[in-house]
Amino acid sequence: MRLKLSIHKNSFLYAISICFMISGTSAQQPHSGSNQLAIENHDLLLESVKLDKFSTNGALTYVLEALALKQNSSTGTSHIDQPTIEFENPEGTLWKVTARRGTLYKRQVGLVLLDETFHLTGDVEIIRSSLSDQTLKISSEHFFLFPSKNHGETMSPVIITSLNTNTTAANLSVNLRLGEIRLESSPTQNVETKVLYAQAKK
Amino acid sequence: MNQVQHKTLKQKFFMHKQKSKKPKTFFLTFGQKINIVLTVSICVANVFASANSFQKNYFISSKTAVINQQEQTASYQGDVTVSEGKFTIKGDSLIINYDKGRVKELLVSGSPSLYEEKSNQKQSKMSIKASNMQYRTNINEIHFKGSVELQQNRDTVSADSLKYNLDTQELSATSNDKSEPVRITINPLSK
Repeated sequence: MRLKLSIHKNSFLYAISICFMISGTSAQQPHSGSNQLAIENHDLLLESVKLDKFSTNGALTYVLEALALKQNSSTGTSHIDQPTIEFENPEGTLWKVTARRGTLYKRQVGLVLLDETFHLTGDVEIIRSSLSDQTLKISSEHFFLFPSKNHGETMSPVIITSLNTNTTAANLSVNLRLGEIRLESSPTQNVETKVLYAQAKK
Repeated sequence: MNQVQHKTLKQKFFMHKQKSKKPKTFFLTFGQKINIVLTVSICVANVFASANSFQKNYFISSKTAVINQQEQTASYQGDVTVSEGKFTIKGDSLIINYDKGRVKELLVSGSPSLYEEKSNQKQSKMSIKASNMQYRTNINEIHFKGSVELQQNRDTVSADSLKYNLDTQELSATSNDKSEPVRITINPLSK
C-alpha cells in the first residue's frame, strides 16, 4: 500500500517534469513554448478573483485570490497573476502562499496529471503561521502545490527563515498537513543553517 | 574518592613534566562510579571572553534535514558540521530540540563524532571524540557519551562519559564500569 502511494506521489512529480520537458519550459524560463500558447488562447478572463475550493466531502481545501485569471477551457489550464493561496490544516496551522504568477493544471485523465496542481513562479513566499505564534517563511523561485495530497515541492533552491534561524537548501518538500519540511542538498549546495543568537542567558 | 590522591592526580595531569621522557598511565578503580572533577585553566583569557559573550551564532551544514513543527525538532543527516566561534563539531547526524522557537539543545551522533576547540595557541589545542554529544545551550555545557577520548596536546583521557562546561572550562569524566575505569595518560614533552 505504501509502495503504491509512493509510486503515485512520484508519478505526480514525473508528470510535471514531463509536462515541462514537452513544452520546452525550464525552471528559468517558465513562460515559453506551447504552455504560453495555451495561456494566450484563453477563453475566460477573470479579474480580482476569489475562489473557494471545497473537497468532495465539503471541507474547504484552499482559498485562491488573484489579480487576474486566464483560463483555456479546452485544456483546463489557467494562468494566474499574483496568486495568493491559503489553507489551514487540522492542527490550526495556516499556510499562505504568494507568487508573482502561477499556473493551475486541472485534473486530467490518462498520462499526465492525476490531480489538480499549482505551479507558482517568481518570488514565491510560503508563510506558515501556527497557534503557537512560530511563524516560518519559505522563499524560492518555484513551488509545485498538490492541494488534495497536502504536498508541496520547490524543485529549486530555497531559503527558510524563522524566529532566529536561517536555512538554505537545494530543494524543499513539505507535508502541509503534518507541517513536516524535508530539505535536500545538491552536488553544489549543502543544507546550511545559521542559528542566530541562540543563547541569551547572562 | 581520596581527596589527597585526587589533588595529586590533577596536578600530575596538568603539569607538563619536562624531565621524564617515559609516558605514565594512571588507572583509577575507586568503585563502580568514578567521578573526577578537573578544573582546567587552558586559557584564562578565553574564560573571561566566553563569560561576556552571550550572543552566539551557530552554523550547521549537512546533506539533508527534516524540520518537524509539531515535535519542535530539526534533524540533520549526513556529514553534519556544527560551527561556533569557539568550536567545531562533526558527526553523522544532529537533532536540534527547540523550545518556543529557540534552540534548547543539540544532539550529535557519529561513529565517532568529533569536537574540536579552536585556539590560537597550538599548544593548548583540545579535541574530544565520542559516540554522542549533547550540547545544552542554556548552561553552555556539552555532555559527551560513549567511548569518550579527550586529547589535549599529547595528553589523553578515556572515559564512558565526560561533561565540559564551555564557560568555566571545567571537565568532569565518569566511568560506569570497574573494568574500564577513567584512564589518564600523560605524555611529557620531549626536550
